[in-house]
Amino acid sequence: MNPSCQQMQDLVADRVSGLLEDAAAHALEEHLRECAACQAYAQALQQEDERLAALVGGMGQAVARGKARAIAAVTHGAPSRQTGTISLRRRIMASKTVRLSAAAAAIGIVVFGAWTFLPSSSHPDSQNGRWWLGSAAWAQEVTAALDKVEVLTYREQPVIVGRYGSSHVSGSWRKYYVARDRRRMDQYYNETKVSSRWYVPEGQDLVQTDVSYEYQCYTKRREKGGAYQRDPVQRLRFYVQLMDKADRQLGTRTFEDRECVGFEISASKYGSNPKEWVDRIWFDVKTKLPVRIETHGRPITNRPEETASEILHHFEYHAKVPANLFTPVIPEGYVNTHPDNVRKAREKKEKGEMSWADIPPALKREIIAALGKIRTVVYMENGAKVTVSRHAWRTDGYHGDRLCRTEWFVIEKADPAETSFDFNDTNFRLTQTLVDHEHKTFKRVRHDRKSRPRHPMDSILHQASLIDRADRKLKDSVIEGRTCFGVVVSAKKYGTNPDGMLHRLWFDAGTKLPVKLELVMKRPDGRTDVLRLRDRFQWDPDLPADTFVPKIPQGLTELRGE
Amino acid sequence: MDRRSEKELVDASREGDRDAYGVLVSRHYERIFAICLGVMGDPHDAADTAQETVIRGLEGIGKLRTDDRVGAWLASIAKNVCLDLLRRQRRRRDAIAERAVTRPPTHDEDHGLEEAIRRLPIELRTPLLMYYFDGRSARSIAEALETSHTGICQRLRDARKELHKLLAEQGDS
Repeated sequence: MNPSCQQMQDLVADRVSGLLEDAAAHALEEHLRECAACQAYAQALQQEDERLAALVGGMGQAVARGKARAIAAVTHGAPSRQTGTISLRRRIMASKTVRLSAAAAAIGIVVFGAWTFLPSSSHPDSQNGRWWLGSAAWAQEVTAALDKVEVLTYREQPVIVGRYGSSHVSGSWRKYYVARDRRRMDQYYNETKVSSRWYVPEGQDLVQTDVSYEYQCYTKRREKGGAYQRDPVQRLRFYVQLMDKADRQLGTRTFEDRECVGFEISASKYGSNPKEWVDRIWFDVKTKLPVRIETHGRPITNRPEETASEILHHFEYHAKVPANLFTPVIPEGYVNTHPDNVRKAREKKEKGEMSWADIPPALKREIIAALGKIRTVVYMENGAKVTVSRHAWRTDGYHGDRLCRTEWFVIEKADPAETSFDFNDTNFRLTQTLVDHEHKTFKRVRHDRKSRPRHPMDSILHQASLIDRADRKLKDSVIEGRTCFGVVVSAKKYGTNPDGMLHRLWFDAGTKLPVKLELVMKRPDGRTDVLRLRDRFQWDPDLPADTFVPKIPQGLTELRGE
Repeated sequence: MDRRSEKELVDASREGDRDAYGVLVSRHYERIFAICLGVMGDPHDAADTAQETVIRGLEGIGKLRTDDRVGAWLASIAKNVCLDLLRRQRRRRDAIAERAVTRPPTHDEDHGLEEAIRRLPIELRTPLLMYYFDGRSARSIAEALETSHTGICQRLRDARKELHKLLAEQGDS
């Protein structure tokens, strides 16, 4: 590298930060035209800038949560994660500002937010053992009990929820072991342990050890001077104290063979979060300790078509664990590298190179937003007519012009509220009624929340959302009289799909709604088989009132069983 | 949305109006978080120290003069909270707390980049991360950190070059 290149690389860095003056920018452009090394450097820094922006953008949720907690802490006295609940309350009480406001409110009941612990209540329900309907005095008992916890274990189960309620309980879940100064997390895929992570103090430092059994590798990271981290027990204390702010009581339910009482609270109640972020907390009626904590409606980075829920459950408050549980074990022969590196190398070997088209991130958001406003849709799928509303859909299959088969899917819910999540609603039923006009038979199948078929709109949203993984753009085209833009996406970019399986997606250039969605398989001879074709979409048509009322003609034989 | 001016909010906060202080926190939280993230190098640590910052701010709001810039004042508290904490941790070997292992379900995490950012010196990491929180404005970072615009430009330049070097060392550039 010559001295001029060194100077130019300073300019490259400044240009990425938007700090370059016009004259310097011009000089840099001149240099880049002639210097391949600096061109590569400029490209790398530009990509790093995009990665940094994406990384910070991806922290939006963490920032929003932190902000909510911080605001709650100063406006209501919510517990800090750093200090204990009680010590923080003392600190807040000790501050002049708060003493002043406390003095001003001295007449009547002084309440710091919702979780000042009042003395034992005279509420009749609390006298009848229904403590959750009385005052929050019980919360003090519970936080005191939590203070005594030496080893806490629990599981965390992620659930991905489509906009139309289809939920996918991830096969991946975690088990946590939390001691006072160290921690371990084991990640499982179904019943197979795929990785472990330890946080163990070592001298003045804290050492994080990750072992991936799946990729046979490990990493170690040392936090100089230790690390200052949030504490899951503190998180439980926080939830214990939210009951007074509940949006609604959820009644009693049995979880893990325990009678539990639950409440629901919008995260907007304890901070400036969107109201769609909803938490549900269930307590054991006998011990009053949390049994299950659910957080719902949280956004997923780059996936506006879905939200994430997280279930914390199987809490053991005084778990007996072997002492060596917290000692990191690196199996012999494991290599020292991040599992992502091994995964990427394996994927490259198994799936080959992948190409990526330049798709503006805003385009995906526009498409998902346009689909999100849809209430009803009629379209054709592989020759069948599909009619969809939020809580019901039907398909009419044809042979030529002759109707041969009709299927209705109708959802019943105990509570039609948006917060009544299907997988969590014991009264959720999805009834599938199938009439086979050709064979003169009919069948009814009841799906519960665990085995429900995917809502067609969730499936369309999933397919449309693949646009940001496009391999290449297609030439604009007129389809069904609409000007469309299109892309091709290799299905191998997600899951275990084979090479040659492709999505061809066409969208209306004006409305951004899908016009034609194809899934095709490319044969070795270059020809393609259409595996699924969705087209002739009519968005938001008025539907006859009886569209989703199953009609079984006289004289048909009912088929029973699966 | 609260339309009160910063001055009105500071006055009300000094009088004990915690909601007014909450509005100030809401307006300045991202910048506080960015500073904490820059110093601590981890979003969970940043959230904790940012929370401690706003609590200390609440305790000290009485000392803030109305004409002081509340953003810069909170920023200086944030820096002190983080540095105090790092110092305290070095002194108190028994006070090592455990590292957070629960993370929000983010996807497409960029581990290589996170690792390289952690390895950057604090004085480079802080302005670099603030840049992405603070509307990509070097001037605004300089104001928050009460330093010169030229100095911040130099640190941003060094940060990008150093980050690139670290990523290259990791085989991740």
